Amino acid sequence: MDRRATSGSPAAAASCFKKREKRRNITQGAFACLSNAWLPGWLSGGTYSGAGKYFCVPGLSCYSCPGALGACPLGAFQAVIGSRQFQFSFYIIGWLSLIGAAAGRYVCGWICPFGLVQDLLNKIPAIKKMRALPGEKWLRRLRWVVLAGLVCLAPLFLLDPIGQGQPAFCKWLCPSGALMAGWPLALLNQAVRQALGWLFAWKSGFLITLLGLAIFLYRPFCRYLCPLGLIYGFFNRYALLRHVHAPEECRACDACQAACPLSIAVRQKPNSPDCIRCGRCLTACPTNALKLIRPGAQMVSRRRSTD
Amino acid sequence: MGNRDQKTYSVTILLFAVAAVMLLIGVTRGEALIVFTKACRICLECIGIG
Ligand code: SF4
Ligand code: SF4
Ligand code: SF4
Repeated sequence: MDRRATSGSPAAAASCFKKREKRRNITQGAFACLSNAWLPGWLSGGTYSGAGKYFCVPGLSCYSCPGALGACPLGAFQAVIGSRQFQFSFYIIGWLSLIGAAAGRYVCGWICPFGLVQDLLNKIPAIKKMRALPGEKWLRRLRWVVLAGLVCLAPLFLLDPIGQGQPAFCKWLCPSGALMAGWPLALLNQAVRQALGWLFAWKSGFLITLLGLAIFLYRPFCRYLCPLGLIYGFFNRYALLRHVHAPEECRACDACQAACPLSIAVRQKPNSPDCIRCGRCLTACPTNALKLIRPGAQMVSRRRSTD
Repeated sequence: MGNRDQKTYSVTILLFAVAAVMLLIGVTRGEALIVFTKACRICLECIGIG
């Protein structure tokens, strides 16, 4: 496929974008199905309890989903540091570093099921799509508050009577938990249904608001709130899968920035921590100055910007 | 391969090494068992009950 979408006719360019998006959505869907493929759970409203639950999945995929075959890294992190034995989790930081060093936020663009849900909702036609919310820069900083407050500090210091820390991100905020575990279990499991109360109502309301916003604004949760995306963002620059920009091949037309759903200054920051690796900029570049490099791939140019 | 790319790849390799060591420490300390135990049960906080 010719990745240089803007070098051909507008129709050819649109078809290139469509093909890439389709490939990405199929990959996201395949990962979502594979990581939640435990059929008995879907039939009975229970959860899988085999060896897969020792391991973390890369994306924000709830371990209480009836079909979940692995553990959610954020839920697992809160469980370990909230336990009475540990205040830090080498195991989960190790997992996150392993996945981050391999793929960075390719996890967000190509694997995470909650990213897929937001992507699909954004395809719904709306009268006015927004590029950003007012105060975008400040809103993006909320991810730090969520990471520090809900994921790290609350499980360490907000203790229940038996000394267990609160997994505050799971409890108060995580929309993936509500969507992939709360809603299916409320439907499938009678005991769960009978225990539902105001907390479930709050999480469901928050989830519905986010899903509604995702129709108008590209990936609101990933932009403003997700601590997992924030963590993987640190790795974008150093991951095995990363982008390069070759200034000598660049026309400075900024087609890449125009195509970016997150309005990143792609030429200056091809490996921005905010980049979710959707790849639209790669397709939009008319001269192929932006590329994905893979491990072992031959560098085609000496002078490259990797910042 | 330019110097800068080589440096970036060295950081990548270092990150993999650190990740491997951390995983090993985590498993030996028994963290993996806590993850397993938590992930096997329905988490009340995740679903919005607890
Ligand atoms: S509620 Fe969210 S953070 Fe918690 S385990 Fe589920 S998906 Fe992970
Ligand atoms: S930012 Fe979070 S929710 Fe969004 S795709 Fe990445 S891991 Fe998933
Ligand atoms: S910089 Fe490129 S890959 Fe990253 S989010 Fe923007 S368009 Fe997608």
